[in-house]
Amino acid sequence: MINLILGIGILFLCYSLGRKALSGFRIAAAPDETIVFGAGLGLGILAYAVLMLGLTSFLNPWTLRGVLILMFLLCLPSLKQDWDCLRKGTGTWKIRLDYSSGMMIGFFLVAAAALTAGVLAPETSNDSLCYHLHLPKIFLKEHRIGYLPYEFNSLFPLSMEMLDTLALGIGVPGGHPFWGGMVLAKFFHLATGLIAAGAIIALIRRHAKTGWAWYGAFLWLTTPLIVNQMGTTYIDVALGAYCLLSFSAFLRWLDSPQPGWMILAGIFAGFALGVKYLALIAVFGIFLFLMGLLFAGRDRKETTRGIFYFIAAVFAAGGYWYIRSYIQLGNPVYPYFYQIFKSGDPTIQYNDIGVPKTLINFFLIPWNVTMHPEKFEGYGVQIGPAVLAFLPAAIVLGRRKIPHFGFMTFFCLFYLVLWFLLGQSLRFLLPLLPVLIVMTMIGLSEALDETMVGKGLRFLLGFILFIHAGLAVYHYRESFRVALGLESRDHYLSLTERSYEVAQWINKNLPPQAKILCADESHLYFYDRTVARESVYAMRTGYDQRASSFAGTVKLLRQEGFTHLLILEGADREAWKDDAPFRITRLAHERENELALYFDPIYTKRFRSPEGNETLYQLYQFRKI
Amino acid sequence: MGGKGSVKRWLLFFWAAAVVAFFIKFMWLNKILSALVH
Repeated sequence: MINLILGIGILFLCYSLGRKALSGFRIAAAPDETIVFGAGLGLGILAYAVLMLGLTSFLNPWTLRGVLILMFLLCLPSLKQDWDCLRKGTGTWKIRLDYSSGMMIGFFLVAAAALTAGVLAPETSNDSLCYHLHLPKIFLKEHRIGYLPYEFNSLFPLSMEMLDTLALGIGVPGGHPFWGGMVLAKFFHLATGLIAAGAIIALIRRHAKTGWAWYGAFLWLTTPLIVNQMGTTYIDVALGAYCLLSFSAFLRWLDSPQPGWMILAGIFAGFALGVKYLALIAVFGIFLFLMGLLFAGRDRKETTRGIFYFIAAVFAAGGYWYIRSYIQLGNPVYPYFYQIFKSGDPTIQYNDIGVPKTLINFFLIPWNVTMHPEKFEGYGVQIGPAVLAFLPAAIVLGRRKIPHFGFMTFFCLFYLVLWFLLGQSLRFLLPLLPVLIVMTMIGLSEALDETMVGKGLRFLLGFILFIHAGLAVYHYRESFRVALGLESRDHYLSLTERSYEVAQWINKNLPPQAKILCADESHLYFYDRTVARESVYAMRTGYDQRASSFAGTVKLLRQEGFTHLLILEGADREAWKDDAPFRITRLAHERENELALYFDPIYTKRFRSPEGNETLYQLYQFRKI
Repeated sequence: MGGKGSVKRWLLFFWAAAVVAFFIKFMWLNKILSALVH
């Protein structure tokens, strides 16, 4: 709980710092807009402050605490005004409580309680253990932030991982495996979801009654995709939040073309680019619309200036990550698009998730993503039925009330088309969801009157929130006991996380200088030794292509300094059959009887997940020559 | 509220209700029915 309080304090400092920065933009932001824009700006600045420490090799818990103390000192003179602005801004969000809003608040609180349990439980999510938390752990160990040859993900945009680095550095209690840091890191991701909720309220409130703004926020905060992501150290909610902030500032520029709004839109777009490559779609969408405005005859001077400010701000706030990747390995979006940059992973597929890319499937997407989320990466990231149910009513009955309807529609369609063509994971649809919710709620506010139909639609909205709340409780059902302290973290992890007990054994029994080649374990966070994913190592070095015998493979691995080999057999037991003949993954299966010539088995562990998936770990030590 | 407008509003309501109903069907009903059958 102390980490949640720490997180709230840091979020307030970010808002305070961001509010100061915002005053330099000379924009007439409403108090509630100041809160959300300020908090978003402050978190982005904090991420870059951590990066600066890492780039100068001064990264350690004490310098991280120093950054926060510096922030506090900077904000100290204005804390009173910041607090007043916070009260004034949230004061504009007051609504009259009645039976239906009370029910919706109740459902939201149930989902919020489940989410809190999820935040307090240790991290077990795949990508978090693979790199969102694993990289910050290495950065802190090495006191620097930069390219890590065994981790191609270290060339991704890492703004959120900077906040995770801060969290692991200052979380209480610290030290591997950073129990407190895990909670704080989750809180930062949750905070971006809250900022987005605030942005949804601020945006809807300008065009509909505040009650609708809250319904929009509740819908956002309880949607399974969002509530399930906010309880992890993934980055997608942050991506959605920064895209929405950019979108909101851009809408304000369309209303009153002050340069400050456009610069702010560009900065948030840049921050979104610093979170994940996918932001390129949203940024490109806004850019294309601006170009369209230019050709449609909008004030040429003003629009050209706007485009310039937007691009400059995008580069200033997010360009670093792409230039870094390009300089390091010749591909700004490493390891994607090998065909263009001739650097990266040529085996990456863009059609392994979702439905075949046909025109009919594109038109069926709204139905299929709602009803069959299992085709798009699973029930855990589903978007629920609200948008499909209500958007038609919102558009038909309330289109005239939706601000800049043309831009919003263009943005949604543009994003949807590229999402359909590139990677049909529901997680990647996240930047679109808040825009759809805003359109739905503003339009629906026109439709939901006191007629039978209006009351019926309102009932359905409440019923959807009820379903969302139930799904949130179901999703986090394993977390309640550990969150309440009724179950130890060790026990929880040994039951839910496949790598935990193996990592514990390794941390206890192998010497600190051990170097383990993991074929192919991606959950690396809990290992407190040097670990390398075999697939990444093979992609970078091509060792499997250079070797021409079993002994040759072992020699190459030994030359790299590997002392141990960890083999994981999971769901895809046949995957090795496609590997090159002298790749260790294939040799270990195909020529199992020869393994004893080069390796000594030292540990075996079977794991059965709560879902019933079985995995087998086998740890070998390279034989002494 | 004219007749046409009213029909449109009812249709939109039925669409929303149908989406929620199908969502429930795909989420749970299929699983429950299959569990009962087997």
